Amino acid sequence: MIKKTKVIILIIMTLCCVGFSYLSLEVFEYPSYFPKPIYDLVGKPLSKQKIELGKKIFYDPILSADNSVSCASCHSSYNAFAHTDHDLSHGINDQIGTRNAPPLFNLAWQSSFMWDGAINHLDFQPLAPISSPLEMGSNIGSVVKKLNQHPYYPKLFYEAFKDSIITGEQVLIALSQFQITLLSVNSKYDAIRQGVDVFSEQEKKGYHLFLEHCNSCHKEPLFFENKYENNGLKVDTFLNDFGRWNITKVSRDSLKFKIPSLRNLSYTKPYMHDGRFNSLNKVLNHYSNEAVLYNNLAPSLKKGITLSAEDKVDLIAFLLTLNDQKFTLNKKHKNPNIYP
Amino acid sequence: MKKHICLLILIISAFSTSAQVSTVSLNFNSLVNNKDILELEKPYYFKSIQDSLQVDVLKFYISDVKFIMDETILASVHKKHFLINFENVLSKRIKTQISDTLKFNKIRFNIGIDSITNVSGVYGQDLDPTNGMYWTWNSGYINCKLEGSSNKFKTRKNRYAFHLGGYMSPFISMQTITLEVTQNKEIEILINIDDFFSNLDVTRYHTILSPNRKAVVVSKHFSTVFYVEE
Repeated sequence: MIKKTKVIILIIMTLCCVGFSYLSLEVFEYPSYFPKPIYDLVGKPLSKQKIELGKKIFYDPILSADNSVSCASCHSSYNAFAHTDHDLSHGINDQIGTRNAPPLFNLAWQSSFMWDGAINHLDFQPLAPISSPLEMGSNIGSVVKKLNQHPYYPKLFYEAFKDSIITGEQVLIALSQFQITLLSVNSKYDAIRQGVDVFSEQEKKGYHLFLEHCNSCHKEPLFFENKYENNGLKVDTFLNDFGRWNITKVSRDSLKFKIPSLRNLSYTKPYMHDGRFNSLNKVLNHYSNEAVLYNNLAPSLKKGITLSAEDKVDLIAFLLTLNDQKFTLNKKHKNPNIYP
Repeated sequence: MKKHICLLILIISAFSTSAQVSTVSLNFNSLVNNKDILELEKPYYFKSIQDSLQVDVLKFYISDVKFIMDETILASVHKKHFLINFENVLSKRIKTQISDTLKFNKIRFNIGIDSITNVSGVYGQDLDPTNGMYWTWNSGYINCKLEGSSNKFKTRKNRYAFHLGGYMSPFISMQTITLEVTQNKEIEILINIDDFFSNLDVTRYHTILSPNRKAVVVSKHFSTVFYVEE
């Protein structure tokens, strides 16, 4: 009997040691009215060490060829990780890119990335800006080399992955883990969904207009869909960006772009793939009067959207309930290289 | 105590009966003019194309290797993906353990990466994106890279570059091939570079760097030049 007890104690002690010396796993919590995430969190469980490491890399310009540009350069936490007031993204040597930097939140529900869906998985998304000559102008191979020669990164990677050599896979997984934790679920809309707040009369009118005109593409509660649509924008003849067509080369995909989220619009202007509209008013004017009738225009836009001046004000009042200041001010997401 | 000894004997006997396995190696190489082993960055005169040609890069993925008897799949190599890189001698050999009781007369494998792996996020080792076999601007593995130069190509610096890939319809580039083999511990799989270039319309196919129709055509062609040395 004593022997048995000893064995059990020994087993428990071993398990404890393993548990404490290894990773502290993080639980991914999201509202009950959200669908199941698309990112495989069972296969790649979140850990505190990996999230913290990913955050450090996200804010570190070591990713760019001349150590000048980090992910946060175009994805600022204060702007829901978008780039307020910049229509197109920036890169090394003051270069200007071709698309508006999208905000980053609720990424675990996104199945493709970039305005044209060129990237098929969150893990691979960082490869594009790292390699683009207009953005970071580097490549994952030289990033991994720099990290391996760095005074403190090898230790942090070891703590997160228990591996003495940093690999490309580890860099990308750490970045994914940090980005998955960027959850925006604390807007007034969310409080209403949870029954702890109510819409004003104006917001309620706006919500009904939203359900009638917008929800078919910007589906609540995420307010985006993993789909591409042509929303009737005139082609910018300087950029000549044909969106999804660039990837599939199929004519029905011409001028289709990824449907973006309507959460946090106050922080993420300007709007559209090329940042052509700097206010929500201009966006609504486009949808109600200016959409070009392309053959492959989104079905919900074909019949036209009629909005009175009053409707527009109401609709915007509703859209502002999707702002999540708890998210933009969350200290957990800020630069750890400044605030250790 | 007796129980423990019995258990020990059982374990030992289990190990000793399953120990009848041999290592089988698949060795990938390429012969020039059916005799010289191809070395990178070295010009050769190819009789078949009647011109000199050199290969600077030859890297490709081999995946889902299976050993087959007639039409029955007997065994699969546990590791799923191998990057065969002619720059690295060790990578040109796939080693696996096979039970001696299994008799096979064919092997089957994919040249390239399947679509499920392509959409399942990042992996390490042979699939790590630092290997330079992943497109950064449009997700997807590059199944095969073949680069070099020859006067046959009327391009800048007479260069040719084939980066073959694509996992989405209609541009699926991965190829599956089955080769008849004699059961052996060393299986020599050769790539007939002579055939690849002599049967290629070099005026049309010289630079392929993205998933498209040409990539599918050249991928199919590349898969036909694999053979087993008897």
